[in-house]
Amino acid sequence: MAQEKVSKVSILTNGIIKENPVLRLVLGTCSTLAITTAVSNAIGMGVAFTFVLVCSNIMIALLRNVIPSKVHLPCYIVIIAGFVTIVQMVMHAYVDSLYTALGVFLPLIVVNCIILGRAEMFACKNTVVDSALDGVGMGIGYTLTVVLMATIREILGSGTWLGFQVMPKSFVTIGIMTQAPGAFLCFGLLMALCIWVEDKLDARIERKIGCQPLKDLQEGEDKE
Amino acid sequence: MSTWESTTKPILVLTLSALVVSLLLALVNSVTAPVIEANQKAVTLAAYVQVLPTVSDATELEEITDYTTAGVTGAVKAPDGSIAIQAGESGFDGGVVTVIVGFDSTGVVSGVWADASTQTAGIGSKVGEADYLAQFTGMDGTTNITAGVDFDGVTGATYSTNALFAAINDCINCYNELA
Repeated sequence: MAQEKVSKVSILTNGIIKENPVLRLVLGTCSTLAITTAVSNAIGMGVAFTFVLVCSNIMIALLRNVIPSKVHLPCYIVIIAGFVTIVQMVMHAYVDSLYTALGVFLPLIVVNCIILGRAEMFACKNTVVDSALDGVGMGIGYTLTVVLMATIREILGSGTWLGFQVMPKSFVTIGIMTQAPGAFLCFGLLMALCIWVEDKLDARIERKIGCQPLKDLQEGEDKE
Repeated sequence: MSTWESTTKPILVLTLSALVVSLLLALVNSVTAPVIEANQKAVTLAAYVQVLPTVSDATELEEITDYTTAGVTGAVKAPDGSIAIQAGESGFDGGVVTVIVGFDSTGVVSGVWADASTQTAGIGSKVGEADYLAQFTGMDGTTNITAGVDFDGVTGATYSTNALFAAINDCINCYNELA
């Protein structure tokens, strides 16, 4: 890989294909498999998730020099849990149907690997702006992936999209798509598709480690 | 490494961050808690009206509090003598199935409403579907019912079915107590 100057744009777009949190980093799969039965749930989860990720990334980048390494994980968890609880309370008050639909997976954002992963791998080593951009990028990547998965599962499994009937009434729905096995099938196929697209575009990226801190990327690959 | 760096600072930073976050949560909670409570009350009132065909508006209902039946969480009385009772029983994995049963003035069940959103989606949640609950309308509201004998349960959702039937029986017991 050639020497790469890491631009703001590339931080933002990293999360969408190259380091897509769900399909390429394979993080946060629990909620992905569970909430993608309906597109409305996927959008709601994506928005809640992106909000928490951006806020926690900003906070952690701000406090990165203050938090002692001894207690960094407890501090991150306290900050992340705080934002998740805020989202939970606001959603319960104003979008009750979504709150009920997302159920336990909303509070479980606290332990979502993507958020803690980004805090640990990115936000604690980079500036506030970069961390915010990383949060937005990862959030978009997550949201796009869950919406895509939910689209496939909802259309095949229920014949609807966002609650509207899109398939003809004669269409025989595939019940398994709304269940856990359908989620795994869909997930596997999307992962394969993601790699195939990357190959076709001839943009296959050699991966030594995931989520490299920017500093390492900028310093180049001289160790090879 | 000094004591400050190794011990005092980590404790201080963690305590401070927990305090700040708690304060923030308390602030948000003070805004959202009344809204959540009002929403839940509206849902419950709408469900009461739904199971009582003779009632068209929630303002006609009068709250009853002198019941002792376990599991019952609320009851209302309509001007014509019909009663609606709310009860909850835990089903699968501790999730509570909330049921509201309407009884007309002669003790016949006029409608059953259930919230099974705490149960497994697509399996246990089926006990809360209106099509399934319609079977209870018109039954005698003074004798307890048994799943599989008086009415069919939901296949594959034994825990949720048991919770639903237990909650309905709580309502029946409470009706017998009040009537």
